[in-house]
Amino acid sequence: MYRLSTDVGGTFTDGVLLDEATGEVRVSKVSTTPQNPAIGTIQAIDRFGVSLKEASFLVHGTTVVINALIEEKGAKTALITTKGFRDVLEIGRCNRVEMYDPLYRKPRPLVPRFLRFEVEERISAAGEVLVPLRDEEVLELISRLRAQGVEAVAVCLLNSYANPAHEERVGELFEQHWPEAAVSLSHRITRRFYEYERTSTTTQNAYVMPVVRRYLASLEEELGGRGFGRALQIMQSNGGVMTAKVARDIPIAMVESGPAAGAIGAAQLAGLIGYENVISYDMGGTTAKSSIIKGGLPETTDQYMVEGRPILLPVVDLREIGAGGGSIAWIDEAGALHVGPRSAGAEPGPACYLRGGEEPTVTDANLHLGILDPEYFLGGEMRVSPEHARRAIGKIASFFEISVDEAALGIIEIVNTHMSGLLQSMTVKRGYDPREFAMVAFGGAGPIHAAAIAKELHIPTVIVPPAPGVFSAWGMLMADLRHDFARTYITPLAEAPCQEVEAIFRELEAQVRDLFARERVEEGQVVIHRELGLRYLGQEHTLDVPAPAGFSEEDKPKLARAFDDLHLRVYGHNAPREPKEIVSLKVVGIGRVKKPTLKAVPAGGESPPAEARLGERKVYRGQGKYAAFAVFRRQALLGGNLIPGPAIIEEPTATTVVEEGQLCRVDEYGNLIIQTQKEGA
Amino acid sequence: MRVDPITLEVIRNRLIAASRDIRRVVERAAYSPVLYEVVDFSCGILDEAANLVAETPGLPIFLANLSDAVRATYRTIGRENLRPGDVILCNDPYNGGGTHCPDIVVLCPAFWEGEIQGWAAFRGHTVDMGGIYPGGWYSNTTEVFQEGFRLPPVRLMVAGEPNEDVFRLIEANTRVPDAVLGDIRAMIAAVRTGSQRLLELIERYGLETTQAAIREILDQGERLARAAIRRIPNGVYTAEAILDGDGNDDEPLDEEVRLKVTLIVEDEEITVDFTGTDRQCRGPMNVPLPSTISSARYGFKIVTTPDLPNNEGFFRPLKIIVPEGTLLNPRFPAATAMWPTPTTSIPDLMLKALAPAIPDRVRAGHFGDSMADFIYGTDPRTGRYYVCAEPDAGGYGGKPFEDGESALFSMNLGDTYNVPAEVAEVRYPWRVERFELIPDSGGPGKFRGGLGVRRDYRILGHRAGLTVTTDRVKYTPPWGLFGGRPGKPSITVVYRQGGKEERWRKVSNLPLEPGEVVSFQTGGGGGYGPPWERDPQAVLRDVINGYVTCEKAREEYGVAVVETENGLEVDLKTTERLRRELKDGGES
Repeated sequence: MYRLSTDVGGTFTDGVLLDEATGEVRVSKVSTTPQNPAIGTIQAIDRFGVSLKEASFLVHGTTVVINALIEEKGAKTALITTKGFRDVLEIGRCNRVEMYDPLYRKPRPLVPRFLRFEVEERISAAGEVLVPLRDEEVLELISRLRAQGVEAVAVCLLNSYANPAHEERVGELFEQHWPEAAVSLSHRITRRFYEYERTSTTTQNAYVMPVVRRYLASLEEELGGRGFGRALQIMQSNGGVMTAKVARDIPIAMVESGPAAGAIGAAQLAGLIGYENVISYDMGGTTAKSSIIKGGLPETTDQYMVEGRPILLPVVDLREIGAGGGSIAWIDEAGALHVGPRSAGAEPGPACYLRGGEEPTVTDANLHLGILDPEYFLGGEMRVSPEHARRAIGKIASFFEISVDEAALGIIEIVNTHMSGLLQSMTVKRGYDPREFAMVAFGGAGPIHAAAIAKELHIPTVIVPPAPGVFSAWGMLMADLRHDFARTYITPLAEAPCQEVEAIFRELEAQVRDLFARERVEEGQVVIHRELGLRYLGQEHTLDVPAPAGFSEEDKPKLARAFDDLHLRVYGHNAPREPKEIVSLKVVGIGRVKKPTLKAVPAGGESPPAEARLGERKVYRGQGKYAAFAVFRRQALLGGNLIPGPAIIEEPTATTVVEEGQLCRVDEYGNLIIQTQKEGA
Repeated sequence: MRVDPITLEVIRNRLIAASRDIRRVVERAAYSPVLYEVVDFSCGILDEAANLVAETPGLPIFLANLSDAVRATYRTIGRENLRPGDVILCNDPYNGGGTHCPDIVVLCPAFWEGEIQGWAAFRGHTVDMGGIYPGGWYSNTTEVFQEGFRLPPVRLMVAGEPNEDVFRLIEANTRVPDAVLGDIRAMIAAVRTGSQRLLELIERYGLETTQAAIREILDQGERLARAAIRRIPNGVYTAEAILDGDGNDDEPLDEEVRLKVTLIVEDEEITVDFTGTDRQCRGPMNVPLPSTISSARYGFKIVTTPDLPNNEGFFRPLKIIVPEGTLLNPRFPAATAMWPTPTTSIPDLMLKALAPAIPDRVRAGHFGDSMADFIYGTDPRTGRYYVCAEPDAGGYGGKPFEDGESALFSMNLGDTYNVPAEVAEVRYPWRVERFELIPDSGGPGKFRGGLGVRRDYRILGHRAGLTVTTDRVKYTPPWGLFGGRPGKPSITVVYRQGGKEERWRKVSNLPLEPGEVVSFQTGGGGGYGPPWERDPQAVLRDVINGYVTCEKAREEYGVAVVETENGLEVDLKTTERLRRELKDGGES
């Protein structure tokens, strides 16, 4: 049997096939088909030439949701709100992100005002019905919406997080009178307060629903035609997968599926080889992304923005900066040197690509310094010009009256500063000690810079998986099913009624189990974590503390202490004597999927075989000094080989650098494990 | 010593990161919404001579105004008396505070080999620092002594240990000690982090290199600002506005207050001259000089380098003239509680003054006031005393190429977040009954002004107090530009038991009885360009969406929108006639 994954990216659609019997992995890469990404997906699968009858698990990550949101190509959508609140979606939070811009433009609502409707009803913050909903008003609205040619409907009533009865009723009436409409009820997506954020999330969900439903239907049909008989799995932003059946109703949960898969891959790979705390580091052409994995699970955050519009759902906490191989080095009006965030992208690309790019990029600098081999771009399939790289960097050099070598090294140093700033914001600034983490580096450019950045931040180990360029697709194969449910529930911790808290937790768990039952996950494979969002009474922001099953009085002092400790770790101070308040209850459900075993590479001795050795390259190291880097071909390396730095390890889609004083070991699965600090340092 | 460009860029990034760390710590750990949602703060790293080196944007009106607090500390405590581990606090509007009493500044010096080499600083609004009514924001005080508990620069921490005397003094003088002390603890943690980051930088690059880099960063800022000023045509540009004055509506103190600003653009330099502005007010609408400087810097920044980070260097080509004894440079002990009101209009007036010079880079006037409202009382659900301080959002002016934005906080606020209705109902004993745009509030124009917002609170089960200050209502509504019409001004309406309706611009400590409704209705922005030049289809869309009523479409835009079997449509013939009439009327 096989496991298959496909990851639709902006430029390429990647496929990974894993043979469950042998652990062998194959990869495919085709151009993305933006009109209908399902076509590229099928092409990537067809490349493998296998029957889908033998596919036991098929995961798909897609940009179809994020593209529909960015390009505003969703369905004609209406919004139903409580009387007095039709403009919440347009008013937003009243903030000006670019506060110094006199011509600032705020994000536009996806539903125009004439399609936003109010119903007379009201529920209090405590959940009591103050004004009952009248069926007639909803029925009248349904006929108006039909007449308007609306395809999707978002329903977000005030305080529905506290009592969803009115939203439920609206949903029932649609179900009875207009079942074809794509209806999204806010409490089904999240039961957290903050009406703008919940309305925005529900609206975006409804907006993409018809698009996603059509897309999934066509994909499932194609797959069925190739003999696939199981449930198609869809990658979610929270790092788990869900079945296509569930995805039809909460498509918004797949917004960040590709990047999340990279994080989950890093978590799984590191776990398989014995690392629990991991920093994932993914650097491509235009951006670098990072996430933190603690105890095997990627950290998630409760909110995410797409085009300035909030989405109130858990998403793998990925921090992103505009620093990639294509990032451009430039000089401002005052004569200061900067790198990024502007990127040469794929077109025209770095100057050395000979596609008309004239500005110096990070890739040009790496080529000029000798890190990249001009004869081995994409395994030798792509021609590049060191001369063009030199000329582009020369503009920077002559401005500052320094050598081209010095300028190229400076570009790398600045981009590394940006990236270590990113990783610092992920670790030190959240109270994590980088010395307790391993970094998994991937993406086309990640392994070039990883060792130097890890050294600076005292991250002891860097892991570079095989084929780092398609690592996200590989990560999807390793994902478990996952569902998150949260409920806003505000009460002082000390006075919290334990039975009621326990009852809500159980209700949330029942929701998780119901979904897993729909997805046919066996009961024994379900793992559930509980969390309480706590704060000091009077504070706004909360921190999540793991909560026990069977909530009781005895747990309260333990939770209070855990919160004090966490507050100290994250913010550097705490106030143990202050009363604490519960704000939210959360449940994370994991449906474990059987993991394939990794395939071992042939074992060898400490010394890499002769066919892996490609000689030496001279690389500029600053202050007029050059160092000889030994060069290796990755595919020929054997398990157990040791490579002392400085060294360069090449494979078709990526290059790994081992800095001077570091030691790289090839593990039994072919991963490169770099010890970044000198012995005893 | 000259620093190489690569090291310079690395140090620049680290300084900015250090000031971001200050913000991050406060934002996440603060107690008061006015800090974490309203973002009523500013933070930065300064050098030992009190020059701002790096800043993280908080409240734009606080732009680059931390230097005064460092200078006041040197002046008051004495540089030689400061020790490593000291943390300073001040809020005296006339000594280090620079605004009004509720705003406090917390500062931490960075000591390197026994010498101060820089500062981490944070200025933020606390919910209450005493004063005649809760909140520290009043319309009718006449001396700073009535406005709260004033602290000149004092040591909050001495050599790393809390100075309990000062903490007790603050505790005894605020109505909400838990929140205020919680916020102060967060601020201390934040400035210590910032100061630590600065030391790490010096440790890594050495003192000499760091100092040289800072000098160069400031010089570069200056060069960028000069280059930007060159893009504004030379000339003398003036604008003025009459503010509504202070006191309560029924007991005014200063009836009209004139603000005047003249900008002299000369090659690479700009002078902002406030001569012609009225004498200082009897009431609290006075702006301490450091805040006048900040607001002029803010106006300068938005027309020169809006997208670049800030430091002192950018402001070297800016000269500011503020005659003493005016409301923008008052003499002690003038009241200053309402300082944000005039300062909100300063950058807006600077945009208006420069409109003839750079018509493509300015917009029409915005609703023009932070319109702060304060509601306070005892929550019948818990028995706890609460003070809610929040601003109101309104419309911005039409832009050179598109309509103005609706529902944004005023210019002196920035990346500030409102209190959502669902959060307000949990936190306060009110019911939020409306939160909606106000039709026809946007000033008519080729590009229409953005709309104001109406927000209604019903007070539940207790007697509450209300203070609200609203300006640009009576004399200077949100102005249009190039033929655009003014937006509708702001007002606060109180719906009393028994159907009585009261309309207020400014009032302090007004009682609200259980079940009464207070409705904050903010103004819209002014229009840009003559309304009769607006695309009739855009007017039709506005009518369909309810931004503009049919009547106003006809009256103000000269567009006849009629009901047909296909829905609403433009009657082209009538429109042509109406527009001709409007244009003739407008041009004669």
